[in-house]
Amino acid sequence: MLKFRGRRRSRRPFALGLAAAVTGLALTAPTAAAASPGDDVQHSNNVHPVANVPQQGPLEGSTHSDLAFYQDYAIQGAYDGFTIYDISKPHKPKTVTQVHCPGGQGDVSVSPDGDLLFMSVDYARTDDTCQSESGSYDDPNSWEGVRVFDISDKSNPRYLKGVQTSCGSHTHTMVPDNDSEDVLLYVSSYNPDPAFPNCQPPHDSISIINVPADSPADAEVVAEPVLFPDGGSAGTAGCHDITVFPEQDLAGGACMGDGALMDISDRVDPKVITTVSDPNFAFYHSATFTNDGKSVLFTDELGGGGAPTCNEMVGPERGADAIYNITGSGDDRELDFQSYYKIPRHQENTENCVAHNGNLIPVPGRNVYVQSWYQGGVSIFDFTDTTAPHEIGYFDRGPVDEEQLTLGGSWSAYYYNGYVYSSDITRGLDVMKVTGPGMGQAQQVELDVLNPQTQYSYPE
Amino acid sequence: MSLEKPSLRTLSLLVVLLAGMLGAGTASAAASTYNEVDAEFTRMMIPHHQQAILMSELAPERAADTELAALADRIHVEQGLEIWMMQGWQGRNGLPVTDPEAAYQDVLDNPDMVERMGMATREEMDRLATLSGAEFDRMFLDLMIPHHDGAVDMLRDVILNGSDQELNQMAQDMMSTQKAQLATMRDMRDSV
Repeated sequence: MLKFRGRRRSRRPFALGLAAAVTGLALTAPTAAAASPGDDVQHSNNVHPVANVPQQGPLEGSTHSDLAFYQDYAIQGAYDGFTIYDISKPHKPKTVTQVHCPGGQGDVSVSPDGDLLFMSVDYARTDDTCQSESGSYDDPNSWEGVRVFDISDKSNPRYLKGVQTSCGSHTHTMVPDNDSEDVLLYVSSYNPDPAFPNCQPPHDSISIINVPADSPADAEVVAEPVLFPDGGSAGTAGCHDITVFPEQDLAGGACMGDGALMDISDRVDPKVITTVSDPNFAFYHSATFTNDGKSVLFTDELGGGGAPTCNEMVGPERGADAIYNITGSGDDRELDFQSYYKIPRHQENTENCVAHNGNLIPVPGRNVYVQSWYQGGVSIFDFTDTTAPHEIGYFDRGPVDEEQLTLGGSWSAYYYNGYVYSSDITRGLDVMKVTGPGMGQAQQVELDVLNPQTQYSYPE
Repeated sequence: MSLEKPSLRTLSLLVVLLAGMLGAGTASAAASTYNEVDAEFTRMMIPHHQQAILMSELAPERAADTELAALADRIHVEQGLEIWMMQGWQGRNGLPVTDPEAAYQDVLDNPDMVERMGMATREEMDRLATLSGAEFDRMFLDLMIPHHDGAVDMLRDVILNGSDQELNQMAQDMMSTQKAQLATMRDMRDSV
């Protein structure tokens, strides 16, 4: 599926990986020394690549996807499992363990206490185990949903439970409960069809899983709220991703044709306050609030991630970010369009490139965002003036394959405790340091846990 | 299920055994492989998309409804990108890369295939090009709605019967998009 050609870093021995691939065991891999970034990296002067850890072990060759963080650990999801790195020395990440447990796309999040790892499975499997095989979408016994792992011992994760959800779990969002230590997961999924027994229309809903604090293996779906009782914009059937801002009781839902602002005062009964649909947006993909909760940035994943949209033909307003101000109050709030942002560097037609995952860099008094653009690399931009976003830094590798359009590049790029971590689909984990005005202040913000779709404000 | 950490000694033994048994390709065994349904799907969907692009290219100079013109523009961009993605997929898998225009002409010469995939005939395409204003809008929708329905059927088939994970994800996204556009077009058809 994913071909590696040309300027690719050397392969790590995968002997230990073989064992894990077959047995589905978690294991402690030998220390993977961080390689220095390759010579195909271009970056602005204020972005300093400090480490790259290539794909390795049982996950070599697997599409690497999203990231979550807990204390000195980064957790990287993949279509076939996950990797836990020790990032206490960000310039020298060490692999703590890898777990082979196929599913995909491997969206990951951690519980606030760092003891549990949740992982999305959106491909039909024959059952909920890590030994399952690829299943069929017309088989009612196929399984898709969310996996729960106990990672209290980071070097020895244990698989606790698979929770099946309607239409699977394309992504999920960790939401701490209001009045207990339990964790809730908002599960986004889409594409219902009469022919898919586990994904029936209209599916204008999300699934909410409750994970009890004292018995996480009893995690179960506790609600399936309908977000779009009138069907939403034409054809909206499910969501792609949701970002919550618990301290403001807000959520931003990226739900296909709709960008939705939601009231989550009742954590198990989110209500849509208002929606927006943009004529240039093909597919609302994800959302991020500004630190004051007064604006929201939605991304449009035109082409679903595999398409080269960073070129003149597609232009600056498609496959882009759209920034909205939240106007009004209470149930009368609305989303007011301000501007588009798209990376200014045109990419090759062999490079998939479109707006993807990112988060805020906690610079007081400013809106600074770091974001993945697949093979368009990582872009850092300032949208303090929501009408005039502009890039202030970037990191961009050359094509994975110079001859053929091949899925690759940065899936997620997030700022965490002083560094930007980028999960590269084929090249593993990149770590970079960003310098310049405000970055010293940003570094004062130290987090214990980061799930980028669960936003908390930073001090300003 | 409890996962116990095996001792390093047990592991190295396992590795030796497995390495011999499985060969070097196993590390990427997780990456799924395609079957004939996947390959056939891309061969047919590329010319199918080509017709949607040709229809959409007619809209800027002929459509009366601005929303319809905007939708046509979106279809034009999206399906152009999707052709690239399907061609990329073919190339990566060592399959012949389908030429959109040549394959499209071949399909038009086969009325059964045109019918089965919900496509417009050569005559219908010729007639659409002669129209403008509301007449164009109505015929555009009357051709594009069954065209999208045909695509949804093809996408459902590859999701159910194909085996390649990457193509599956592409198909899921294409199906969502085409169904959303079908809903939009049905609404439009009631008002143009």
